[in-house]
Amino acid sequence: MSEDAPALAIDRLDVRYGARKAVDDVSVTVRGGELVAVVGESGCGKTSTAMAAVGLVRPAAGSIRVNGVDLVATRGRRRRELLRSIQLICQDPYEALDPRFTVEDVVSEPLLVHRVTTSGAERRRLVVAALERAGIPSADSYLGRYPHQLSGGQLQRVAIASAIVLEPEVLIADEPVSMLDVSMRAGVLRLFADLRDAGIAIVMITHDLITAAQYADRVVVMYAGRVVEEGRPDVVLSSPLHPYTQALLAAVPDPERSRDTARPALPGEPPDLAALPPGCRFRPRCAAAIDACATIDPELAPAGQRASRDLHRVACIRVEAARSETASGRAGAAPAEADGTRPRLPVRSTEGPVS
Amino acid sequence: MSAAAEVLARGRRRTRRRTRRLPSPGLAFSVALLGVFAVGALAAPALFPDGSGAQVGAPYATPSGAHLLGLDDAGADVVAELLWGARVSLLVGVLAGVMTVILGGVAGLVSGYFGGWFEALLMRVTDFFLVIPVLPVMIVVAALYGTRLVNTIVIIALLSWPGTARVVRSQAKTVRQRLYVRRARAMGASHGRTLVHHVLPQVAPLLGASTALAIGHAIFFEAALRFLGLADRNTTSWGQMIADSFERGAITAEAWWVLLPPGLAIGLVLLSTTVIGRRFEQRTNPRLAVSHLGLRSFRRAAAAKEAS
Amino acid sequence: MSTTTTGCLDVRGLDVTLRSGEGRDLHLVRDVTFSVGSGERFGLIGESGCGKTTTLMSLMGLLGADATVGGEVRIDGTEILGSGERDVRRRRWSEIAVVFQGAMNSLNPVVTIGRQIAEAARRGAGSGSGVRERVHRVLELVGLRAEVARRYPHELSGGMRQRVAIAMAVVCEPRVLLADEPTTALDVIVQAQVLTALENACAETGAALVLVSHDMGVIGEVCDRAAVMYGGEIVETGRIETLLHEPAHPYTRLLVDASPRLSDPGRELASIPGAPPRPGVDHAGCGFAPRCPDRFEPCGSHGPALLPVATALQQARCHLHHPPAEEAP
Repeated sequence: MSEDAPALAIDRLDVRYGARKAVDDVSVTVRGGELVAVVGESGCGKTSTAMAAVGLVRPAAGSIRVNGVDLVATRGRRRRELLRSIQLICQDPYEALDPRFTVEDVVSEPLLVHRVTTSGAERRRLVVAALERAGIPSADSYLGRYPHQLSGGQLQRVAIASAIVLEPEVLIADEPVSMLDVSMRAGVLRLFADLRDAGIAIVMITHDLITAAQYADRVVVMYAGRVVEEGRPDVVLSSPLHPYTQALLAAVPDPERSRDTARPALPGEPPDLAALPPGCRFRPRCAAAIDACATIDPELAPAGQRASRDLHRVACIRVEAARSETASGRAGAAPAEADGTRPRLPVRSTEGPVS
Repeated sequence: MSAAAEVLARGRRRTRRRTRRLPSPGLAFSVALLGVFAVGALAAPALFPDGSGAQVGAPYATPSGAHLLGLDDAGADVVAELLWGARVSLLVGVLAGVMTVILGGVAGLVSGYFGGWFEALLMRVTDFFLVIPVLPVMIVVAALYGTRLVNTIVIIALLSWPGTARVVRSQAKTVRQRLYVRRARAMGASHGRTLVHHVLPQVAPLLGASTALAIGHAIFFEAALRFLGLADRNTTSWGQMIADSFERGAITAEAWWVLLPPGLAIGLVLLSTTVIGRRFEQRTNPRLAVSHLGLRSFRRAAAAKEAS
Repeated sequence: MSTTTTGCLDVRGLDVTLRSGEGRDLHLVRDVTFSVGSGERFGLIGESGCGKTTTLMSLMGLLGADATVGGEVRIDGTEILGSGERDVRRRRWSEIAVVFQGAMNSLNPVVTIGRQIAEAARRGAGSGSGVRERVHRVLELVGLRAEVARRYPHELSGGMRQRVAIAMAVVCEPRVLLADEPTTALDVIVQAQVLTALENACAETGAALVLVSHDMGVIGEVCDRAAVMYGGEIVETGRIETLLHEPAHPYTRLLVDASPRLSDPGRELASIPGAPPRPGVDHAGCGFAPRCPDRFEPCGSHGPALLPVATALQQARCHLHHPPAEEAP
């Protein structure tokens, strides 16, 4: 276990369900104190990636390193130790907590599972501390309550408390606020930001690009089992390079949009994961596709010549082509400028939602 | 969850809690009836210290104040026979029923939770047992291995567990898919712990239901074996009483009081265990508690259906 | 069009009380009044348990025998509350139709899409001729190819099935279309497709749309006017622009601030302390008072009335604008 290894390093992960390639060659690295948002529509592989990361799904290939130790290759006691440092928070707190367990049962279960302490008083102290850290005030009075007696926001905080009671280094949160009332969301998201600031590496899976942008240090956009774009949220939001990211942004409901302009809509459906099209898997829906897109499967590559400035990476050959053209000095008609200005791809509405 | 659905769901929870406090008349009657038989069976040695078969009067004496249900072919009090018989019938029922549920419960739980080859094997075994006629097999086994009481119990249990295993398996399979079970696994909990703390409590009411039903069926099978003469004749049971009354001319003597009480006893016990079992089942099976507005419960029921 | 006092759908003083298991009455919806014109798009916003779904269910006559519904509900001037079961059933689909959140999961798995829509068409109008054409036309309306009619539900994605549900709802050209969180479980791209289908379907048939959602963004993008519900009551109603930019009720303001907006992604989202009230529980004074940052003296004791704020179009149920004693802020 090396000191400078990232808290979580998913490398070239493949997850298959029969013939369906749910996750195909996905790499994501998260360091301690970093919050990475994985964004994409359902079926894009984001949840499968999370399930593999916490050991619930066996990957077909690739590695999942927690502090440098590969979870996939580890067995028995060492694997259980490893699972202790990576904890899962589920989307639906109503379903994720055993209805027969009290709040104290829920939060102390990880302590019992990993035999952290034999002292009941010590266990209760840890449970109360975790609940308070998760933002439940006067936690003592909640210990004996059952899930159905709590609101959605409180339930999710209890679930978070049970995830952090073991002091894990990595938290995987699967759409942690999508089931909550609007008025509760900001508080729970703030809590994740606080945990991040306390040094925990957090992977937050979401389909809400705007919320992701606000709290994440990095955004990873997935489509049909692949990472298609990755970068700092302000960069991705202000100058999305991949046509899919652009479509995602354009689809966010916007009350300011004029009633007269048609709602920009991406046509079609995501591809069948058991029969992926050749070349780029977004091509069938992409209005900016060129002939080469049908043959070349694009790699995730740094965008922009000054790649060191940030880690903005994109898997689109048109972006690559534009870069190599400008790099070789030919001032061609670049379809997407890689220097941070807005691209002009036809898939977006003329009235762009980005300020 | 929508407001209306939530309110209805809560109302349902409340109703359910209330039924737990005040059992329905059918359930109360069933429990009371089983209690009466159990107490009677336990009190038999005290009430009729001479044991079963003790002659107290003329054969087929009609019911009277001294002998409420009359006397049988050997001049023994039918009430005494009934209570002594209850000891054997209930013992066989409880022991065979519990054994059935232990065998079927373990097999169902393990195969439903782990799946894989064990589940495939179990399904083939239960298919086998479901297509072979149980009674003839019991006859053959009893003929081969003798008619001792212990044999009767083991035979009934061995031939009954696959049904229980199937029901328990499908429930365990549903529970395994629940998010909190998967979360426990992700937390690092062992299979044993997950089974005992999260899966077993959800399956327990079903095990209760299975036990009640298995006891009823075991009593019925025991009676059937007795009637066919394939059990230990040295002990009296309700089945034995029916068999005897047929063999020894109670019907030609028009001694209905000899035939009717054991038959009624078997019928009532079977009815009671069925009522109790169904009640247990209603608590587990979401499909039986679906409200037309409870979309959430409806979805759960649909999911459960899909998984089973 | 929204200024007319009588619209296509007129709801006045709607009150819903549900008799719960213990015989205790739950007052789920109180004094809900709104009116939607033909072709107009009206939104009902609120968090879980605020009574928005119950309001829709009562309009559809789907609440069952445990519920007592009071007030007036008129479609084109005809009172529909209190009419017999057969009358209610006749009206469903042909005059008032609904798309539920889980509608995409309620299609019959063994019947083709086309036959299911045709069945809905016959149920409403009864005319057998031209059903095929109508099926193809509504499919086109919601952005699906006519070829979809031959497919089975399991061959379609969730978003496509939800659009089929919309097609079924409008095939009889109802006067009023109700949509209960039609996009809640869907991703943004699919959501955009479904909302477009909904808008097109209403525009084409001229139906009045009532869209129920917890998502300010969705309501804001689709609707012309909206009502914000809290604890079974409408706490504010007005044009969308007004609600978004000049909310009068503190709850509306917080709800707007709690919703992420694309135009300002860096803005810190607001969260409202406390939890929404349990549905149907009676309270003294204003229902929002326990969570309200602006509450003052009368809020805990006197329930405010829904009264006009700046113009007659905007109404709010808040003492800040109409203090019980004469002292306006």
